[in-house]
Amino acid sequence: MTELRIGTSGYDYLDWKGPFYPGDLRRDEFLPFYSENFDTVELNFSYYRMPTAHQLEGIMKRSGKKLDFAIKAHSSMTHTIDPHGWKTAAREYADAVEVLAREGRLASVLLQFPYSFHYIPERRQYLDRLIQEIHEFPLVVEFRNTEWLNKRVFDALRERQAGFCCVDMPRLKGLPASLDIVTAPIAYIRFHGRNEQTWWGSDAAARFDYLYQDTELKPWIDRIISMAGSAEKIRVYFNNHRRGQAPANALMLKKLLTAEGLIPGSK
Amino acid sequence: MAAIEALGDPALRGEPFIIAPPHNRRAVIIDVSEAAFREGLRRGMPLAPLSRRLKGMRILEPDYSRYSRAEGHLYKKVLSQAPLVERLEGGHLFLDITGTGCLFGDAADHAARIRRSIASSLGLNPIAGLASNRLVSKVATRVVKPEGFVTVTPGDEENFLKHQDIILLPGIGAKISERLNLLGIHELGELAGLPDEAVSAALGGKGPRLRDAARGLDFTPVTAETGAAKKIREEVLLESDTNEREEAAARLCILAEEAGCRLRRDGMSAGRIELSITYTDGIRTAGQTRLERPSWCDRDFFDAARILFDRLLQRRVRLRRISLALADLQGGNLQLDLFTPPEKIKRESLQRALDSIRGRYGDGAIRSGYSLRKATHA
Repeated sequence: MTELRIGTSGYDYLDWKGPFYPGDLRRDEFLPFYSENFDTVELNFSYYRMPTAHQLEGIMKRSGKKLDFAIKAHSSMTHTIDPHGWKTAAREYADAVEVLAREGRLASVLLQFPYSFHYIPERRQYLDRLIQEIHEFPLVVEFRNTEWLNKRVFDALRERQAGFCCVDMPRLKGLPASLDIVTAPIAYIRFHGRNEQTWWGSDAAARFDYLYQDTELKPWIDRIISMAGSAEKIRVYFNNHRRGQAPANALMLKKLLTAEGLIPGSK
Repeated sequence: MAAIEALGDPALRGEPFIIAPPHNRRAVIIDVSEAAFREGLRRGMPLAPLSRRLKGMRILEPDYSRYSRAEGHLYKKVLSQAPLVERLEGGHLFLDITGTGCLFGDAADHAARIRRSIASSLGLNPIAGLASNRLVSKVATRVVKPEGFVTVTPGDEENFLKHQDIILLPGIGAKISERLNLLGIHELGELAGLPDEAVSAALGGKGPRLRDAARGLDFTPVTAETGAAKKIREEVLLESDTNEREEAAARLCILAEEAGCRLRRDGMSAGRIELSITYTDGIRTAGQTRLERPSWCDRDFFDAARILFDRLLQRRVRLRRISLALADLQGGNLQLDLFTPPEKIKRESLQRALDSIRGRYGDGAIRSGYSLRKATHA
């Protein structure tokens, strides 16, 4: 049976106090509290600063035994790629993430590429080399540029057993087509919110400021079940983190899936 | 077809296997499992050069009757989900859900629901493409094959097609693809950007149409299935080419029996026969003939096909392939009327008896004497 877990992109948000974390909860208690409600989390601090093994060991210790982690790649691997230095950055990143993999707590590494990562030969070669460099980990790739959404790329991901990140976002012209596709043993879904008004020309906080209604999440049950037919595990993360909307929606989806008779993960 | 085989045999699930006519060194792959697809095997690949690659891989004989039944179940399943459903060979369906928002909700959600419903009730995991027209929807399914679901936002068709390989476009086969590749055109966006003169010079009269298709333009409506549009086709690739007329006619008889069997399973009658023969040198000749009255009897089909066959077979070159199609189909095996000739009544009674025996003991349990000539001539 496919292992299905639902969580959020990040957990360390002060504006979650009230909507999700109790008002008197200390910051160092966020993760343990999160772990009581969810069985997976997507770590995104690793994009901003290179993670260390020591740091990840500490995170694992504070999260209890059941939580597993998807971890975003550092920006030097996806956004500010130094043609001469990327390998060193990738190895440094891999040395840290190895700690999670060794303990069986690594769900996936997430390589999220920006719109400026165009579908040109140099970038295709880079992606191929990067996947080879860290192939020991389960990998998932998210493309923001629609040029990458073609059959050659999907076939290449399948050959390399790298997962494709399916996204839920506004249906605006120019944004990636909505794709449910499983190219590896892991199926991966990120919910970015459907805020059409603020998507373009806003900062990240405004762009992802959205609360899904259950009528919008319910249809995803059909899609998740269809994807489960091809995947060994599914990870679902809500990225609409503003004001605790992500955990609210994650709990909503868990409830909907439970009502359908599906048991999300081990919780 | 591979999905249907895996459904029937759990041991096949997740395994690489192909469907191809057995014991025929000139056969091509008819369908592949998902695992075989990942190993690079594709429909239409000739078997002979792949012998090493296929070592240890299961090769299943096609069971067209079973596939046809499964396609029938699939079609019936989706009929209530869209005002217009068009059925094509190979289990392909087009559903036009335009204007059904109030009834079924958001189009993408409805499509996902249909997909799940097919999976849970029939055990098949269909590939689905949702788009503003048939063409883009078709290409979308080819993009995500062997499994997946894609929704192309209206207005984004050209963008979605831009970096797809040209071979994914309906109407572009190996020859046209090769010609375009020689001109440096590999992606649909490159084809889409060609002006009329250039694309006509490259591809002749069909050039502008293919160029427009590469832009995502298609105004072909979804056509609800009518008997007139549907055909039942059976074909055979001969184990060895032959110029023995009677041997070939015996194979034609088998095709008529197999097509007739499928026709009756669908509860249909046919009014027209289409026949094509392909010679060893690749030259193909085709023709058609109308039956005196619509029928569901194998003997009627064979008699008409035999006359047509003798008319088409004009060259002293060996035959390689024979294809028979029953066309102008109508629902419901015809009722006897007062003016049905006695000979026909007798024939229909005989056909019912034959079908009854085959239903109990299998398709091969009883055959016409004529079709058995194939065995003596082989």
